[in-house]
Amino acid sequence: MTQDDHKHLHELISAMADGTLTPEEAAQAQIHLKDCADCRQLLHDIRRIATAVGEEGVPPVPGYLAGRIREHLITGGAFESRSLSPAIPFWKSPFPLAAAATLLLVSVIWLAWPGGSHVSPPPPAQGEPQTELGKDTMGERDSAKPEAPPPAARPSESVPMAPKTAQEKAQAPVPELEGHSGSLQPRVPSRLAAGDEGSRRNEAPAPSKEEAYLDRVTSSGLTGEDYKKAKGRERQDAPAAKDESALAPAASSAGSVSTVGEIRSLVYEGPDYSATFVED
Amino acid sequence: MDLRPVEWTENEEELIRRAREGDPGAFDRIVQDHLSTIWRIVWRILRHREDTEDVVQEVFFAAYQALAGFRGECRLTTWLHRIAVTRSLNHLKSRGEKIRRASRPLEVATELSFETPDGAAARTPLVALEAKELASKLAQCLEMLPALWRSAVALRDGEEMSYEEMADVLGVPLGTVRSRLARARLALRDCIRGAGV
Repeated sequence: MTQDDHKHLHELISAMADGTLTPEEAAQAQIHLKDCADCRQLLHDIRRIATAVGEEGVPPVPGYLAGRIREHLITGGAFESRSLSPAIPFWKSPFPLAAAATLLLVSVIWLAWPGGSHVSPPPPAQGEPQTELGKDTMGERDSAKPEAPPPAARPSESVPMAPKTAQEKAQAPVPELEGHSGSLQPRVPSRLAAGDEGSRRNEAPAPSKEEAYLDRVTSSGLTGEDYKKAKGRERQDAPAAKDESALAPAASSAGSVSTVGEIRSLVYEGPDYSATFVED
Repeated sequence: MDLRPVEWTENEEELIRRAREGDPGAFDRIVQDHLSTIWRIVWRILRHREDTEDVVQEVFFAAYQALAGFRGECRLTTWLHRIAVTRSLNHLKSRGEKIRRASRPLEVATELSFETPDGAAARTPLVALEAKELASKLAQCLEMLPALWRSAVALRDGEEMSYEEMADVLGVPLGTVRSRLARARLALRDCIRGAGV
């Protein structure tokens, strides 16, 4: 009997101890065992060892181990990290593809835009004054300094002092932001500008101060000298009424005017005749 | 001969589904159901209590992380046993562990604090003494056995797995299981006989 035959027989005997032989193998093993005392002893020893291994005591599971396992899972982040959905390789998930496609599209649009990477601002809205900062580009936004606004439009001149009370804040004019430049540029309200222009265009031209004075002298039936004397006496009788009456037309015509600039545009700036006559 | 069958039940499927959805309670239940078996397998291979604790923790941590990849092609028990054997063998492969094991005292499995199967106490004193001496020698010889052979003995004689289950757990063909088991038993027998038992 060769070494391989013995090896084969040992496997048969080991399997025989477990009762896992096929009928043919079992018959072959029985024939050999009849004539081989060593193999019978081997079968006996294997059964004995298997029994001993099965009866070997095993330390009991420590009572704290289940808690330690749970703690290990928590501290390891396993319970917090995810829902255990079937794993999908990242290149098969839709997000990277969508992100790559979006990035590519944005890059193509960026490069294909007229003027290279410079993006022109959208056209200004109709009636909206276009400032120098309104022509700013995205590429120049950070580096370009905003040009100084014209002196008449400086906030320090055209915007009243900052209101201190809540009521003043509510009534105070709010300077609008020009375009996307971020600078404070108070602009003339279009309503007022259009209305002012419209009133000047559509109404008949107002008579000059000289013409109005001549009309009043003529209608009074007095000579020019007598008219001045009479008006001078009236002024001495009521000096305080002069200021109020002089301001009344401007205040009434101002209506809802709310900025100093608007008021200034409505105040008469012609020659001062207040020293020579008094308006009715 | 499958003496310890574990049925693939709807309850187990439900537990797996819930654990996959991130329900910690479901995985706690899986741990509770399989902890003692995993503990025994790992201990029979490592034969060291503290190492067994560490590896058992690793087994369940790895199982939880890999649960998404569990496709149900085998039973959950087989899958967990495979992880346990693999982790135990990997633990023994580490160089530091080899050095440590060579210098540590043998953990004899016949201490009174250890579990003993039913019927062991019913023997006569002489048989019990012989069995105790055999167990002591067996523990020494199992410690010296190559890890792959020891794992085969542990699964078959310790956990009474079938050859088919062993093939699934060890990831080897049936013929390899049979030959590996035969070699391990012959080596154990030679070792014990050399020790005078």
